[in-house]
Amino acid sequence: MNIFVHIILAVFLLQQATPPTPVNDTPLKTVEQFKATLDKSDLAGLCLFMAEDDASGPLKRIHYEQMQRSLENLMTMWRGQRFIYSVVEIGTGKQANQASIKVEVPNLSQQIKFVLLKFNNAWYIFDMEIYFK
Amino acid sequence: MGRATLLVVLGASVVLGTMNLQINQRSEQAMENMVSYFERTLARDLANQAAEYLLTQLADSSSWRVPTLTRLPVDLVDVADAHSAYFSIRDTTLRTNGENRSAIKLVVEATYGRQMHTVVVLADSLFGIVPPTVRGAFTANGPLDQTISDMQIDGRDHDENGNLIRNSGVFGVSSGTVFTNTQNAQIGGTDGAGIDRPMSYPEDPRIIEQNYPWGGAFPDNPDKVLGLPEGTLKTIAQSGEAGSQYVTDPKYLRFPLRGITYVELPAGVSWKGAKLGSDPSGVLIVHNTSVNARVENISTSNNTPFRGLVIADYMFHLHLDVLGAILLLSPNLERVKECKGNQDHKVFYSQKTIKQATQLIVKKGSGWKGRVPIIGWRE
Repeated sequence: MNIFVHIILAVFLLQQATPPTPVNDTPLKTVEQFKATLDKSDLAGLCLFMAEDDASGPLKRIHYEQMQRSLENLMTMWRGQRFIYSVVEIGTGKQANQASIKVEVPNLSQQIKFVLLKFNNAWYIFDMEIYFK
Repeated sequence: MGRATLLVVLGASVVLGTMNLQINQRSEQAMENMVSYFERTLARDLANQAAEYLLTQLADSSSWRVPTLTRLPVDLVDVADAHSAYFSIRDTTLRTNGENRSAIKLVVEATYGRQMHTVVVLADSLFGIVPPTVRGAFTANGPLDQTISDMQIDGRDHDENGNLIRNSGVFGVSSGTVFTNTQNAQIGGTDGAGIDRPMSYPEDPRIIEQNYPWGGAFPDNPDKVLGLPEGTLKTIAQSGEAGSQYVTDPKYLRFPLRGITYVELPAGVSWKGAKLGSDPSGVLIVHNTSVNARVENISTSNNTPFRGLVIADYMFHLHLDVLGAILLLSPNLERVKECKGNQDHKVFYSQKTIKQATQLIVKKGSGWKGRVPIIGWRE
C-alpha cells in the first residue's frame, strides 16, 4: 500500500517538474500551435508553449497560474484573428538556441515578434513584442 | 510781598496749565497712537486671517476665481463691527527667467477703524507636486539597461505638448544601480548644476545618475513615492474621484484614463498587451504588495502620449510616449530580454503634467499649507 502511494506521489512530482512536451520541434510549429490553442481559449494549454522569464527552461508548473492570468488579455485580443507568419530567424553559433518569428495581425494593425528559446530540442516562447502600426 | 506772591502763584498757574495742556495733548496723542496701532494690528491680522481662509478655499477648489473686489462675509473673519475685508482672486501672468508663468493673484484689503492693510499673495496656478523621488525622466531602484531599450529619454522639462522649458528638468535616467545604455538610446536631461544637456548617443554622463542610495530605502510602494500615508492612493482610486479607478484585472478599466488609475495585479502576473486607450492622463499605478506586478507591451491608441506619472513595479516593451515621468519600484527589472525598434517612442519629463496629475492628491489634504504652491506673500 505504501509503495503504491509513493509511486503515485513520484508520478505526481514528476509531472510537476516536467510539463508534457507538445510537438514543438521548430519555432514556427510552436507559434502555430500556440495560436491554435489560443483560438480554442485553452489558457492552460498555452502555458505548455512558454519559457521561464529568466530563460532557465520551459515554464514550470508552479508558474502556470500566473502565466494563464498574464495571457488572458492577449487571448482576448488575438483569439480568432488571422496570423500571417512572415520572417523566421534562427540564430547561429552561440545563438543557435534562439529564434524569432514575425507575425502580422492585419485586423489589429499589429506586428508581433515572438522570441523563442530551445530547450531539449523543443522551442518555447520566451518573449513577445507587439508593435502597433 | 503780596504782589510777589500773586505773581508767583500766577506764574505757577501758567506753567502748570501749560504743562497740563502738554500732558493732555501727549496723552491724547499716545491714546491716538495706541488706538491707531491697535487698529493697524487688527487690520493686519484680519487681512492675513482672511488670506489664509481664502487660500484654504482655493486649495479645495483650485479653479475658484473672484475677479472683482468682493466683501468677505463678517462671520467668516470673526471680529466685531468697525471692520471690513474685501478680496479678489484672479489669474495673472508672471515673467520669470524670460518665460511667462501663469499664476493666481489673491488680494485682500482689510480695514479696521481708520486703518487699512493689504495682503497680496501669488500662487502657482498648478497645485500638484513633483515628488522628490522623481529624479529622472526614468527613475528606478533596479537596472534600467534593458528597460529603456532604444527609446528617446529626455529629463529636460517640457510642457504638456512636449515643448521644451529651459533648465528646469531632472536627470535623464536615475537608478539605484549601475546604468549602461546597451541599446544606444538617445538620452538628454538637466544636470546637477541645472544645465540642460540635449538628447544624444552616447549620452552626456552628467545627466545619468547611477547608484543613487535613496537614503538607504527606495520607496517600495506608490504612496511612499508621493510621501503619503500607506493606502491613500488606493483609497482615492477606489473613490472614483475625477475619473479615478481601482481594478485587480485590467479588463475592467474604463477609458480614457483619468485621475488615479490603480491596477493591483496578483503576485507575478503580467499585464501583457496593455492598452491605455486614447489620450490617457493622471497617475497610473501598476503594483502589488510583492512589488512584482508586471506591465509588458504597453501602448496607447492613436499614438497619443500618456500625460502624467507612471509608477509600476516592472515594465518592459514600452511602446508608448510618456510626457511626465516613469518610476519603477522593483529591484528586479528586466535583465535578459531585449526590446528593439522603439526609437520612435519617447519618455519626456514634464513638471506640468506631473503637477496636473497630482492635483487630485494635493486636494485631499486640509488647510492650505503644502496644498497651495505659494510664490510670494506681500503686505
